[in-house]
Amino acid sequence: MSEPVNIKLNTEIATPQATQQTEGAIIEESTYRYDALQNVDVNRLSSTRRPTLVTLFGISECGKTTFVGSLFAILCRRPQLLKSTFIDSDTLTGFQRRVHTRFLSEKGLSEPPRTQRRAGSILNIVLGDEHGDNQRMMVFSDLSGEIYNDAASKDEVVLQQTAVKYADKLVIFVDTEKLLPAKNNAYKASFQSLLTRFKENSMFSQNTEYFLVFNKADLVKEKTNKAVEGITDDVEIEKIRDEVTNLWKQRKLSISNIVSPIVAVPSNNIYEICSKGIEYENEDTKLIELFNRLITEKTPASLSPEYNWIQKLVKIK
Amino acid sequence: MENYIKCIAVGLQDTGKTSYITAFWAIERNGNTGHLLTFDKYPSDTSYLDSMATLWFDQTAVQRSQINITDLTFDLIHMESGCKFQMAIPDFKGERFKLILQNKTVEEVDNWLKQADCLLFFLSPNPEKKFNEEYGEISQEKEDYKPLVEFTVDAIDEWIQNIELLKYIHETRGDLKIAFCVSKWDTMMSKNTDIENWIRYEHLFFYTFVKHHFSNVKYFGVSAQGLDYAHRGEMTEEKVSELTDQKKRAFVSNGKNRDYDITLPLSWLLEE
Repeated sequence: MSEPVNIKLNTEIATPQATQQTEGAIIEESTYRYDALQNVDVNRLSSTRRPTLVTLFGISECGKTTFVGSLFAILCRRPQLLKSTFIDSDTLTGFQRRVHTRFLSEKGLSEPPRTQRRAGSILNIVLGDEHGDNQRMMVFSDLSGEIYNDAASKDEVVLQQTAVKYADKLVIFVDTEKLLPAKNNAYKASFQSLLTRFKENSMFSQNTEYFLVFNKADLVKEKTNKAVEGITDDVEIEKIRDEVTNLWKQRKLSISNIVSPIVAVPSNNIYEICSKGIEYENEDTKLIELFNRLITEKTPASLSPEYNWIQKLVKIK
Repeated sequence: MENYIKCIAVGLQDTGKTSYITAFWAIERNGNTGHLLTFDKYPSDTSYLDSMATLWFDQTAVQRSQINITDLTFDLIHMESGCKFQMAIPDFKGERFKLILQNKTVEEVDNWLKQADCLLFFLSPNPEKKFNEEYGEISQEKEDYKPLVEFTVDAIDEWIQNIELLKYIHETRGDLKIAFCVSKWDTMMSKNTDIENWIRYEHLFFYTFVKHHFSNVKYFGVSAQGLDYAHRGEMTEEKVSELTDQKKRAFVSNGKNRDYDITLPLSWLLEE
């Protein structure tokens, strides 16, 4: 057995309390052990080594839950793709909730938005390298898209999202399904409002590493294939392909124009992925690359044991 | 020399806890088996075990525990060392363990856990639930699967539930010695694969969690019934009856070979 895991729930630090959340609703404590945590519960996590907080940011239906479900599936069954070993998690039920939501979506079903709003959003996982050494904790904030929908129009909701303010890595999701059609104006306006509101409330930090992710990017290929269906002339096919490619470039540029004045996203942090791309031996390579970058510690240097990052996350608002 | 060992049989519903304890009693109660452990004396009240054993002899599925049996104590003797052991082995319903995952306090289980020296942890050989995307195509089986909209404990994959139980046990008692028994191993023998390797390849997430939290574990394949009653094949009632008499029906396996000494997981737990 390798060295004991020195990362655990420290139940002496704080007692979970009901949390005031959006729309005046009181968050109820989960009836399940190892469920996702609320922000206040995060104080109960303790670690002698600084965890890395990865915040998934985006309005509903942009694929955050599918993304987390895929990450969990890869960590469970093919961690070698991420050069990692699963060691522990205090939120296995929280991960399974997301897996459940994804199973529902396969059947065209979904949980009521009210339930989604009430669920905890903080997930954690302890990973080691391929041999189980060099253990570190990753903390994921996977807030319901419904809350981001609310945040796009309410400062009060924005200010509650401390996991955005203190994120080490923040992944901004763009829904290709909504961006690709001609009538994408409402989507872009809502996307811009969301980012602007967080910016105006000083919730984006310069210490955060930003990623811009165009999710469901397989739809671009699908659109191309549909456009060339029944056409046999190679020149015509090539012309249509170019048209779709250019259209997609313009769409991406319109998003970049919204994002770049607000946060700085390095060009190598922009990804086009399909978060469902986890077929055995035919995985979406960009998705796997992104997973790898997200689960890599941002600050490998250990901090003093007195430094409680998570308490800081919640207390300093 | 006599030792008092407290062992607790842990496992979700339908993982074979009661079947194993029943087969153990049915096979070992009269001795002369040549197995590593045998009874030194009978438990004071065997009415529960006897009723279960009758079902086992009759080649009928042993009903899983309808009640929580907390006072099962086996006085055993190790045939090689001559050491005598008193082993307390309560048979809790699988539902009791599921309640733990629902954030309930299950006092009788907690009390046993606090005193336990070792665990017999039962696992079912069922596969993990996977996403359609992992297969690359939608299978008919997946298409027929209709999940409940509401999230319940049953929506949690069984292997994740097992990890959660182990995590709870680790938080309660730390690093205990555990014999993992994968039940219904008769249905797995055709795979001819080492059981630890099978766990590592098919249930890697579970395997690595165990590896990093428990230092003294061993995996056993267990077939307490000796066959799948619903798919008998060549195992006619007559044939099974003969095997029962010869004490060659239930078996323990390392994944490749059959060993008819069903006491092996317990005797391993009793080793220093």
